[in-house]
Amino acid sequence: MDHKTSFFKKADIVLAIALLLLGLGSFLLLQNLQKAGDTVTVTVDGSLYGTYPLAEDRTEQIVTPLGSNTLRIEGGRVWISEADCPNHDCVEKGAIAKQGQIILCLPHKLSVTITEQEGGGPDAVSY
Amino acid sequence: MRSLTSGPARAAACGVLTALALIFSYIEFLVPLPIAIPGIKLGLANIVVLVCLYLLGEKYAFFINCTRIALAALLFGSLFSALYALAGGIVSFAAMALLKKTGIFSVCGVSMAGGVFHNLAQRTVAAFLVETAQVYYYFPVLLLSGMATGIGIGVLATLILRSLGQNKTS
Repeated sequence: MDHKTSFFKKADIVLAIALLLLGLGSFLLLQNLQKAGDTVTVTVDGSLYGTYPLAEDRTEQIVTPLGSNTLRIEGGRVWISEADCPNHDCVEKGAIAKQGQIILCLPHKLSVTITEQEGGGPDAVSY
Repeated sequence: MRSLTSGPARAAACGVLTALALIFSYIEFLVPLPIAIPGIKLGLANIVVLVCLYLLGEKYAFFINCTRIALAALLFGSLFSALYALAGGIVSFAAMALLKKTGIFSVCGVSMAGGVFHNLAQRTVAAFLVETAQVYYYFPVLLLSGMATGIGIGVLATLILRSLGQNKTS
């Protein structure tokens, strides 16, 4: 046994490539498996602010105690077009369109997710 | 490590190694990584499991790993954290033991696969518990982080095995 003489062996590289391919494969698979979702769910400070159908184009002004954001739904995509938060991360995040995707505005404690009408995501996930 | 051939010596070694693994678990519990993605962690306790796998064999390593997870859940975990940890621990252990048996991979390679399968198993349990495939969204990230931390842990375990002088006795 010479398993301590070297840090890596040739077989390790093969293993690493196999694992990377598994990762790439699962990533591509997930891209296709992602459900479209049909509802835009907005929460402020953890509680529900409102839900809007993804299929309906609209502009919604979301006023939170900490500031306001302008939510734009158009063509099955949703994004924050304007916000008076200091960092504008939510605006720069761009548009989301698939279930489970999320836009966060941490300064305003605002989250925008895409969900399914009847289901709703997990309340809490603990690891 | 010739001294570890007798039963009592092995039992004592198991106790010490379990305690060490538990301490590593506790350190990780106390000092979480400042990363927003849940599921990324170093897996320090796996150093002990790896060293034990090579020094004492599968049976002892498996015992130490399971005891460590059960104790960690009792002391500072919850039922859910125990489920996640157990799934990750058992699946990654199975992967590591199998790869080690082939004899063609280094400690780092074995550890790397262990890291990946740990994350894979935890994601799968999460998917069952919350009944959504949403939890898989981060999987590619977790796969890469599992590989990276696994290699790091593998390097450390290699160094420990080297300084324990396993070369001369095996």
